[in-house]
Amino acid sequence: MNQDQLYIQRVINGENHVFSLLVDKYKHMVFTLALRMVKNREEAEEVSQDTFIRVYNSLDKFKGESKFSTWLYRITYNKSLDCLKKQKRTIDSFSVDGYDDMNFPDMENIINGIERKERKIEIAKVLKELSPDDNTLITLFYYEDLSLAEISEVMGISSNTVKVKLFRSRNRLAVLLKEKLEPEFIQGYGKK
Amino acid sequence: MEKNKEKQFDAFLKKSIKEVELDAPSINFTDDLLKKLEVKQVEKTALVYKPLISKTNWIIICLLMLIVLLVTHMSDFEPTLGWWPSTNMDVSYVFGELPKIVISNTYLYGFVGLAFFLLLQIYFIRSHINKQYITN
Repeated sequence: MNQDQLYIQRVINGENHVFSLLVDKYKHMVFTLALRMVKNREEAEEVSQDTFIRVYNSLDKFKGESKFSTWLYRITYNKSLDCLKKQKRTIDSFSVDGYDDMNFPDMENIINGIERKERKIEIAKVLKELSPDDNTLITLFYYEDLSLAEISEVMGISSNTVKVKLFRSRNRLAVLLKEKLEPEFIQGYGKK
Repeated sequence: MEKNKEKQFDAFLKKSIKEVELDAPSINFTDDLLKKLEVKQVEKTALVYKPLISKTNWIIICLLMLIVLLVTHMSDFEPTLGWWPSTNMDVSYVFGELPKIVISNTYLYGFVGLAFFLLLQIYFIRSHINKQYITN
């Protein structure tokens, strides 16, 4: 039994205050996922609160077949989708066509040209421009190191679809990064 | 060549995405959440539906009814015998002459209809009010 399951068991047994430990452990990731989907801090905060309330009310239904984090991210993803649907906002803002056969940018040249701090800021900016689904995929795969199977559980789609979608999301991210980073690199290179 | 670039880009993303810090919710996030949960808990306990007659009592009542019915049926009980009051009992000396009430069929059907819709209305109003107080 891992630490999360021990906490869950204690909450089920009536130690309600233990739930705050789970909240503190996951609130940043839940909030980030929500924010990258709904793109508004107030709404993301509300989605995160709703997510944890739902989790609290359904703790006894969590069987532990999957990781607690996977289950939690699934609820976050669904709550964010509900929020987007309420406002009739689209989930996929980019057209998929045209990104499939792109060439990946030569990142080595680009990366070397900019400083780490600057790179962090630029990537954060680019992530904001991605669609909700692209953002979820990229965050779960590259930040949380979730497997394709786990992402498929979170998003409620097959592993193969996750693979295809992830490839497209990565392509879109590459296009945006190239647009953002390359001019600066070229500019910086020119000054040397 | 292209595969190499793809792998390189993948490695770059793995490293760079982790460099971007996670967004932080408001400072009072956990406290606000716990307060909300407490309120919900109080609402839940306050709105727990307690029937006037509990399930056990209903079972006891049904069993008693069943026993009474079975006993009267099995023992050929005749209400006209023994202690059962005679239908011809004269009570005029207590109440005087009682007026005879004649109820027409139309009135009876109307009354039954009214009672039926009144009960139906109670059911709908109750479910409507219940829905208003349901908290998830």
